[in-house]
Amino acid sequence: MPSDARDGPESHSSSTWQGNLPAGSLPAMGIVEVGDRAPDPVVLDTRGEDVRLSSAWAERTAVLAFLRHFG
Amino acid sequence: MRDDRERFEEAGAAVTLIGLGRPEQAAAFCERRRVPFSCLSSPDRSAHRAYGLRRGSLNQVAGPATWLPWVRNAATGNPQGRFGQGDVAQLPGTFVVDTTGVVRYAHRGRRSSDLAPNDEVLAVVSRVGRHPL
Repeated sequence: MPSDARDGPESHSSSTWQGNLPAGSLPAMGIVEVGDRAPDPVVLDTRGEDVRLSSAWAERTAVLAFLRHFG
Repeated sequence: MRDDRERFEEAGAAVTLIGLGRPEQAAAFCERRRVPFSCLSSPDRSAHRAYGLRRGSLNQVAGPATWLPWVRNAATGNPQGRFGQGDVAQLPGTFVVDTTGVVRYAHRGRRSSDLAPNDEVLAVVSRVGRHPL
């Protein structure tokens, strides 16, 4: 796991990936790891309409980038 | 990510941004910045919480890289963050999910500026394409 020595022991990023995997298991509450089923919350599109997040990976591999705000 | 849009498309991935704040803020930002990706909102942080993305401490979110965008948005009448919509203390994260709904990559930022490197994400997307479940 990569670490950033400049920032101290608790500042390293948390990145993992795996290749071939068995069918995903449901993650523990709020803990999503590689191999887990991706949570599928309801979010809002730019029109304010409810959208299932799973629509993002329905047809293609999805890269989900969570931001704190737009801007 | 916008600069690597073609690389993501060539790798067969669809990029989706999920931010805090109101949908109209997401729409305005993505239109103004011509963001070529899907833009979604989770104003109540439910999506961020579902993926285990926490709010950071002052030490994790302090610094110009964190506060300047908030100040800029506030100055232009589009405040996002703790005093408007969204949450400036929310830590970022990036996940790759394959078409079966399985998480193949997870990056949780340990500070606001800790974003997943595009090359790392692209490498995973490419491998997912070669090794589908």
